[in-house]
Amino acid sequence: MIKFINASKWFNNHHVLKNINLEISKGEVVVICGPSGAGKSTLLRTINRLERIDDGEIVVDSKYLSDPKTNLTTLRAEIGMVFQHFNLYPHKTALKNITLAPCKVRGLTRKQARERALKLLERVGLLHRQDAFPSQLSGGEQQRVAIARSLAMEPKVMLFDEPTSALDPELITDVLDVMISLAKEGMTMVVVTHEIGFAQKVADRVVFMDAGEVLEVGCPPDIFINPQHERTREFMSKVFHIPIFTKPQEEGE
Amino acid sequence: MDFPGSFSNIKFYLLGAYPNGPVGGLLLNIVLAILAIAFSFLVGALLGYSRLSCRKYIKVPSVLYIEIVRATPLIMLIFWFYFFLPYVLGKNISVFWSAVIALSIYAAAYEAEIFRAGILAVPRGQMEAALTSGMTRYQAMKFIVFPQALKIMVPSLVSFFVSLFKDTSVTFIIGVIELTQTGIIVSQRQPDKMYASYLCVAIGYFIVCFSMSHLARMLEKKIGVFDLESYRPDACRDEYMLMPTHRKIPDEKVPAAGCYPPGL
Amino acid sequence: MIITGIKITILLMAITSVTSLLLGTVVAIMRISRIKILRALGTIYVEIFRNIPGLFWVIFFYFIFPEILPFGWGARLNAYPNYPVVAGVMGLTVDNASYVSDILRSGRLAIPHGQREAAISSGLNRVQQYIYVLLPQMFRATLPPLGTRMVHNFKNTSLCMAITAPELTWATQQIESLTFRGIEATTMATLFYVGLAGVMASIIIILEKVLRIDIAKSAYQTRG
Repeated sequence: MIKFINASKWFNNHHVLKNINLEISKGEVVVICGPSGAGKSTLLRTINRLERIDDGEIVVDSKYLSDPKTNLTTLRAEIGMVFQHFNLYPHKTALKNITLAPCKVRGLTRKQARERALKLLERVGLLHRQDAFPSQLSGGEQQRVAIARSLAMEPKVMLFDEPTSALDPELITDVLDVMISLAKEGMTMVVVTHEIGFAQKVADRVVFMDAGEVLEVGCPPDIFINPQHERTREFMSKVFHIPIFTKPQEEGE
Repeated sequence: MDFPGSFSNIKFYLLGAYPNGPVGGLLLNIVLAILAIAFSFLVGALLGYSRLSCRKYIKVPSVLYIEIVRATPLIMLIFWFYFFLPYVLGKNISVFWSAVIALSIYAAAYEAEIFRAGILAVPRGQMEAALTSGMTRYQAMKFIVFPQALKIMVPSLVSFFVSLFKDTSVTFIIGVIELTQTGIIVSQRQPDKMYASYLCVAIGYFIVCFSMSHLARMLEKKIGVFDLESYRPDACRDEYMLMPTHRKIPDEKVPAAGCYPPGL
Repeated sequence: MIITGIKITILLMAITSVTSLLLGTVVAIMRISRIKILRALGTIYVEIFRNIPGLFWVIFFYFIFPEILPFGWGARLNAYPNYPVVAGVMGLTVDNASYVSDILRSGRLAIPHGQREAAISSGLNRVQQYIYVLLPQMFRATLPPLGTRMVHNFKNTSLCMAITAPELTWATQQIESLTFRGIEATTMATLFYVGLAGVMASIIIILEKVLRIDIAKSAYQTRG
């Protein structure tokens, strides 16, 4: 579904992505973790080309991103993205936030879009907040609306860029619940997060990145409990001050 | 000071010779300012928009226009259009219209800056969110960025209107019979009531400007201030161009500096 | 004639920049002072001068001001051959000072509270606090808008042509009416204005860089 081939990126003289090779197949849930400044978000943003890579190739849904013939707009419509700071449109209500793109891009009628949006709002548990403006919603609610907004385009892939790191701890669970249910439905997901619990529960693979390099890829217990790489071990020991991982994965993928 | 005598001229100050002749006085100032804003709005928006482009051949002309007009005194512009427009067009053009044209040219440069700052004040994430949901740049601009930018711009536009309104007084130099000119004419006709006529002019300007600038301040409180000066003139956002640049990936590994983000 | 014009324009700009900065600072201090009457006076000043065009003030000081002066001072002023320039300076100063004071006042609001407290606790009196601690920071914080204002003020010197002060714009119009070679003169004048405004703008940018480093080295860096 998504394939990085020797992808590299520079910000001026700063090498932010170093020869990334990674393949993500359909229906897979991949969690990217690592220290801040490791290039996790950049990697995620290259997938729908919010950032462009300077070398190498990225193939999404068997389309080459560097190919001038690839229509970025239609490709982006297939890739949903959820941001750290939600990026809801502040001048539109929750419902309008969700219906806008389906109307304008997919050409749905207002009624169809509205039905779809209401279904999604119900799913994320915010049906009663449909007429609220983003400024009237809490962070957790905003993020759930943002997820619904992405889902309204019926994307093939969902990208999550630290979806919970701007939220109060008690609001995180609502958002994670929605993400977990999505993962269980078989959505292809790429998630940048520090939520180890989430990764434990649903991730098929965990990618550990540091300083623009992919250091390790593996299933969650391998990476979290039994890391091979020195740097990974160091990071994990800092993340888990207390060794909480006494039992491995609870319920498969 | 004989105020009542001068206040009998009040109609002149407000409307000029209006019912029996052309509009003048305070009303003319307002008309000039409104016409100039209206005519320059589209040009100003386009200029401000193209100044955000990363492509030199679009950016440079608009930067030149904006900076040159902003560095020229309004009087100079007014003279240019008053003396040399007839010369170029080969026919005479009324004082009023040459004033309107000069003011529009002048206003466009300032509006371009307001517009640019307005767009830059919309968080980047908004554009990104719109693009990721599959909208084209044009759609993202139209539905997401522009409505928000417009709202942010409103207080600045109102205060710019105040300043433009004050600047319309300059047109008296080419003989537009607006409020200042009216004051001077009346004071020359009735030298004994000189104070009164100047007082009338001052009060006229004051009332309009005072109420408008308070409106601007109110809007600022409601919408929030944003500061034109805090935006660097070299800020450039390719993502706001409707047509993406299809640049080839450069051979050297370091992308060209100054353009952020490089590509998209 | 052009040369005299340029000289007078630069003279006007230089004098009014300094005087309006001084007057503006005084008004700004009035507006942020604790004494209610001073605050009110400052506000009235700004409201009056900001809401009436600069051109009006230039004309006012030329025509009206000599008339209201007592003891024949006005007649003496009127007899003074360079009175248009003097009136121009006064008009531009009062107009520009209102903007300057507004800008400076916003600069005061940007200074963190701790600065004042630090100044007080190191034993500076009210005047010293302003001179050594507050004013320097106010100017630095507001340098970009102050610079823009000064360029504006420079352009406004052309308003003085309305009262026949022999500055550059007036000179071009004289040339136009005497020799009909207005295009050359106006082009030259426009180039001069654009050029000098450009020079002013770049000086301000340089100044800004120099002073900003100064600030970065000092208090603000440690605020975290």
